[in-house]
Amino acid sequence: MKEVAPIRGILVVDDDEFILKTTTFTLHEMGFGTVLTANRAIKALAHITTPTKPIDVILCDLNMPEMDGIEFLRRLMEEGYEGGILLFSGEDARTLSTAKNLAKAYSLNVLGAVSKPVQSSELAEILATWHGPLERKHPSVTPLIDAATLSTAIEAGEIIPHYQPKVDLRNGRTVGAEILARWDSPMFGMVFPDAFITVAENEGLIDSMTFRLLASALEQSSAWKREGIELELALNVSMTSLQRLEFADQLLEVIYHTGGHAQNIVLEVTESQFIKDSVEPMNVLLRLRMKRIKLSIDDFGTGYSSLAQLRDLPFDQLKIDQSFVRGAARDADAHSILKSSIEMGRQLGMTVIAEGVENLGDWKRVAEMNCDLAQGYFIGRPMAGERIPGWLRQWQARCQVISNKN
Amino acid sequence: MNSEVVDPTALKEVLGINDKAVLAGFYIDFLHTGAATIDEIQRAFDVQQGGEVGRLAHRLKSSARTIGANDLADCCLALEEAGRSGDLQSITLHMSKLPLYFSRVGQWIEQHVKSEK
Repeated sequence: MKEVAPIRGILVVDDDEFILKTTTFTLHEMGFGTVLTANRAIKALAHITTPTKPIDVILCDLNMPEMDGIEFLRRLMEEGYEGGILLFSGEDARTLSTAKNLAKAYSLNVLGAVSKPVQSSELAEILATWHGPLERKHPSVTPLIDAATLSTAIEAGEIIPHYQPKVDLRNGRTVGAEILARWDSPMFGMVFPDAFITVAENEGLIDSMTFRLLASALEQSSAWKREGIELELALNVSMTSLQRLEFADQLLEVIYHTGGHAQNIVLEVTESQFIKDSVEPMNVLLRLRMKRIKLSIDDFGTGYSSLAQLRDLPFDQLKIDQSFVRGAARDADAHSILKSSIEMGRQLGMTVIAEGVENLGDWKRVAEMNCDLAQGYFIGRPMAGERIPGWLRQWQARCQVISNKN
Repeated sequence: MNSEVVDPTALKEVLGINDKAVLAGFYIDFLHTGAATIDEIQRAFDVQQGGEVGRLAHRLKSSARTIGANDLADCCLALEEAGRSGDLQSITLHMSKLPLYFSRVGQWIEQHVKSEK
């Protein structure tokens, strides 16, 4: 899955208590746990200058008494604020657009500028454009990640798995988790995969990284089993890895060596990658499937596959790209693509997974379309392995609420 | 029930929910915060502070649009613009309409909450 960096905390700044309440409610419904509010910009500034919790995104009104939104933006620039900013205001479109340009001129990380009232779906879409503070915070970090640095990090076990749950839309049961790579770097903090995967692929490090991630995830899986938790593990595999015929044997060796079972592993391959170059990868994937490893097409709908290719490829699962899942709320075309992709996947006997389920509306929509599984921020964000048992307890409680709302 | 006073789809779309009890809670909340803002607007008007009337009306406008009370929001917009340009005559005109629009919204909410129970 293409990842959006998690938003750790959101600060809503508005002088209207009613707007603070509605916006906080909407954000909580979308699954954001930490939402702070300030009815004055000066109070909001205190949250930034003396933070008690990390604030990754600020939703900011423009027209406020005392310090207005424009002054607040200038102060954020002075403070070197590196999080995302979403301007939302009852001002006219031209004023809003000018404020957005001004914020950009201040080199602030502007996610968008929208008129009030902001609809839940619109808010979800804009917040999904957030890609984490790292890119702004350390613009020179990515080029510094050279092969030697990354290789050392892999050897030191700094590339660790996080897990995002997948649940059954019919009964809320948690069936599996996608393994997502994180670099827990002593120098840079928690680094997201877009900063290092390409380096790993280009420098011949991707296989060792993938194997270590899987080994670590299988060890975690054993720990979960001791607590009575059994989850299917989904691993993203790079097309670079699938070009090598030995990859299949090496992967199986990791599974057997760690005491894992092939039937509990799913390999996720991005559809657009697969289509480009399908002969060697087909060989590798077929061999793995014959060993009972499940295969999943990732980000379906973003590549250029034909229906015949889908019919002939040995895939078990179809993961529909999050853009269709999120877009279906407002866009009739995205809605049609989502619905027909789910139907097609099911008719081909595949398990269909909706990616990017971010709110109750998305959940209900894909459930009504008879999609099998769901994954997304509404259910749970990627998290460290030890947090999964606690998340499971919370999720079971939330499931009751969700089923009562239906 | 006059469906034009409040567009019942607006708040659902803002909150991303369809839960009647939660929606009712927010409607009632609007009445409380809205009534307080109306009082503030009235006080600013009483002392002829047109700019403050406009600023407060701007605030009420956004809340009103959030629950779909579009006539009330339009009246607030007119007050906001009049306040910005310091047009006391226009402020006076729209101030005479504001309580009426708000009370219609109150009646709508009362009926709506009852009928949804």
